[in-house]
Amino acid sequence: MFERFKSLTIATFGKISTATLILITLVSISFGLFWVDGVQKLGVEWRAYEENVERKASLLVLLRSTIGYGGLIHNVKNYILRKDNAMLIKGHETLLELDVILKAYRHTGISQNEEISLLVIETVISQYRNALIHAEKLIHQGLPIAEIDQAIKVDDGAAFRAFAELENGVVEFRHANLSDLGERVAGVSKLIIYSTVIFGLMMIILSVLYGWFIRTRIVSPITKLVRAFDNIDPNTMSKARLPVEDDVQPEELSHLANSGNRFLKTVDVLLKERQRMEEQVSAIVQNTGEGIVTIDAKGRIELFNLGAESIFGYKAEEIIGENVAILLPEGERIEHDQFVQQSEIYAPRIINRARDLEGQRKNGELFPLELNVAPMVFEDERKFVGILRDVSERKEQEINLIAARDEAEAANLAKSNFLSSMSHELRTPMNAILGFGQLLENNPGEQLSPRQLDYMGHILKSGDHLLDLINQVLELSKIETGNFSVSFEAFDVSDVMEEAVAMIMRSAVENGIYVGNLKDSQQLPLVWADRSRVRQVLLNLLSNAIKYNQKDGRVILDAAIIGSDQIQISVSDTGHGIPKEKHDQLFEPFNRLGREAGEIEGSGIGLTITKEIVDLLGGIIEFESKVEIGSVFKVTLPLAQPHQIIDIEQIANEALPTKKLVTEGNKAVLYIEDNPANLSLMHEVVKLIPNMDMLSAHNAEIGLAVARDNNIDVILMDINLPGMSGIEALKVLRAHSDTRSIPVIAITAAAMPKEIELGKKAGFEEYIVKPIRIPEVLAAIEKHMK
Amino acid sequence: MHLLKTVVFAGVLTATLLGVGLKPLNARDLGLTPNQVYNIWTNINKALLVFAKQQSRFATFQPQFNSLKVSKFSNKKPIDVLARVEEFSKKFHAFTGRKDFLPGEGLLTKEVVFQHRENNAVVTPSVVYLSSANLLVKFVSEIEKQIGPNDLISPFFANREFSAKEPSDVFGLVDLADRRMDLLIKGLR
Repeated sequence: MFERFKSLTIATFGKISTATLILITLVSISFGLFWVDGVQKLGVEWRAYEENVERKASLLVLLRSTIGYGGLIHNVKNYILRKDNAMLIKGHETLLELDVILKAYRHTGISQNEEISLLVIETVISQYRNALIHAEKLIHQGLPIAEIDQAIKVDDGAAFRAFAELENGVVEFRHANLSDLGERVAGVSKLIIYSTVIFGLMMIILSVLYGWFIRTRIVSPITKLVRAFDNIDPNTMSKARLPVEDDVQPEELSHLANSGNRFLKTVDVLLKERQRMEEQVSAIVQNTGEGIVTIDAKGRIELFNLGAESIFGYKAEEIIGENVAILLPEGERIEHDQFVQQSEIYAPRIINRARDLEGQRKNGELFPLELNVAPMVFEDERKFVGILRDVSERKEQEINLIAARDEAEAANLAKSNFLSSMSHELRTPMNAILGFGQLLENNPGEQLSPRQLDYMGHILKSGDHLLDLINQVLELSKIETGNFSVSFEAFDVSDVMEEAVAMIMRSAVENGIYVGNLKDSQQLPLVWADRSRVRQVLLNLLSNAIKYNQKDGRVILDAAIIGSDQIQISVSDTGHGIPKEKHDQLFEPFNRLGREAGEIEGSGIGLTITKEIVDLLGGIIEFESKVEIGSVFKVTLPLAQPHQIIDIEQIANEALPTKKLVTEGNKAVLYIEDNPANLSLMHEVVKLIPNMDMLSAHNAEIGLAVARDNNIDVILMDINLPGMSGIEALKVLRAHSDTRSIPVIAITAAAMPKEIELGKKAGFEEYIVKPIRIPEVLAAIEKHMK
Repeated sequence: MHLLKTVVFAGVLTATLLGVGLKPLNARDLGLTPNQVYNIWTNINKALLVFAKQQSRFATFQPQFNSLKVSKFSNKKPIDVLARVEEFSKKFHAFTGRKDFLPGEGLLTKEVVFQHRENNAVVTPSVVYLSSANLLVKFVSEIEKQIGPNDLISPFFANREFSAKEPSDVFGLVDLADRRMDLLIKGLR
């Protein structure tokens, strides 16, 4: 039994303890209830005793008074004396009352002595009852009172002695009951004392048993384990073991010791792993090519790796403890000290940001240094780790690269300036050559011979080609030098698409290529771009699509809205396509992707100009191409915002006023044209008309002002003008009362039937295409002169 | 030990005294039985017979009055008997032409009131006895007033010893007296 108790586990011991405590509590409650019940019964009995005694005493008083003076005896004597039946009835009523009192007294529980006394009293009462009945009979018989009184003598002395006996009995009864009650209280008290002592002894025995068990089976083994823990040396942890003694320890503590041993093994493994990691990190830090230096909050060097030794020429042992400022030129040391001392303030400038500065080697040599500083908190102390790199070679390379770039940019600018000036210089005489060539060809006063006319035709044709080439080179050079201007306006791109298609239609027909416009006669949202440049872009893309197409090929022009603020115009063809490896070269200037030797003429700068124009317009040009299937070029342009849409009426009213320029008495023609050569040519043509002045404007806005402020008879209007187009200018003229009636003749390079039709629809009186035929121009001016 | 005993004794005594007031005791019954009540109603019936015989106005009802017998009842309780007694009492009042008798001043009247109050209106044979005895005294007084001192009164208060009487037996005598009172009232009209 004892051995089994010794081998109890803590859990079993806990269960037994709980059950024992519950049992003791239940027994205590039962005893408590038993005691309370006993005490309550004693109280009830005592109360009954007291009440009984009181009742007996009161009944005795009542009995005495009912029999004695004012009671039965009194009633009997009164009846005899007065012979009044009411007295007789009162006497019988008193007898009834005495019956009740005697019954009540007996009902309280009486002793034998009391019974004897009551019998005596009843006998006396019975004598009085008989006396009353006998007296009634004697009164009925008419006997005198004296005889009646003699006949009914009753001795009531015995009754009063019995009363005294009964009163003594009541007192004895009270004493007897009190004594009995005292004994019973003493009995209950003894029971409580004995049971308390027994419970106390039981609790002491149980406490001793529990104490012994807890000390020997729990406290001692735990103390042993704690000592074993305390004695573990961190350096010999792999050999440390906690004692496992199944015969001494409860099962739970054996488990705890085993778990502790497993924990020690795990800690040993982790410590070894940490040591290995530390060695690895140290090796990395020491052997990395970068210089690594750590400093404390005061700037003292704490770590200086091999990379840092290599960069600065110091050995770690000779520099650790020194202020890090020793690694900087003297001029920067003060600034560095400020950084360290007020690191919180300067943190945003230096922390985790690569910073170029100058370092100083041990031998005093200065060199460019890249430094990246990171803060760290180690053992509650703020420290900094700096990654340093000698960037001498990189700096040298950067300097060389910058010099090369500047040189290249200067050369490119010089080239562009050369091309620009050369192209301009070439273009101006070419315009004159072609213009005056035409004058020669069409001079009615001095007709050329047929041979001269043939030569002149070749001159003009070649001149046109050369002029195109020069114009393209000029544009490219303008773009590269930043002199290329674009004029933004809001316009319907479908009009430009139709114009472009109309312009290349003749070329398409000549080459046998079908050209389709999927947005023909459809209204599209207004774009915000340069109308003439967009047309130029589309013409170039369409022209290429026709030139590089296959026989009986197709070209499709389409447009689609992208999102809420862009439109994408696409030109797709069924040409030979562009090999993938040449996609990157497509927009390079003068690169025709191997077609230089082919039959198809071209300068190789068309797409370059196109891309540059699209970029200037804020758009994007993309393409997709597959060999022998075809290509698709997509130009994405921004849509016009509501505030960008021009109110034509407003422009008409706001046009700048100009001074009067027409000679009095002369007629006046206004030529609105942005090309100076064409202006010069037209000036010579107008001179052929007598009494005619020619005013000119190089854009529509100025032209509108001149027309409003001068008495103009005819207006010659170029359509492709910078800014407001000739068609828009015509609308403004027609909207204003001063200029509404002036005839306007369009003179434009847009020579396709569709374009002519569009021009006539817009309201031009005549539509003359370039190159102009002078007689045609003169005839039109004379026809519409006011 | 002596101190412990004293302390425990004092505690138990205190608890006992406290316990005295915890549980109320019923008022002590007087210990009267249906035997004594039966005696009272025997006297009342006897008084009724004498009264009817002495009054010439009830002569026509005399044979019917004398022929009335005690009916047999069972399972009656003191409360049923008391109800019948009160019914008789009302008829008795009606017969005398008075609204009510003055309450008596003797023990019988006082004890009726006490028993009713202290026993929470529980009707015992003692309660029935007190009411009946009270009624007997009043009835005999009324006879004495109406027929005068021509006959003896004491026989109406005869004290006989009956045994083993049940409330149902008492109920039978009260019922007989009640029916006789009905005839007396009928005779007045």
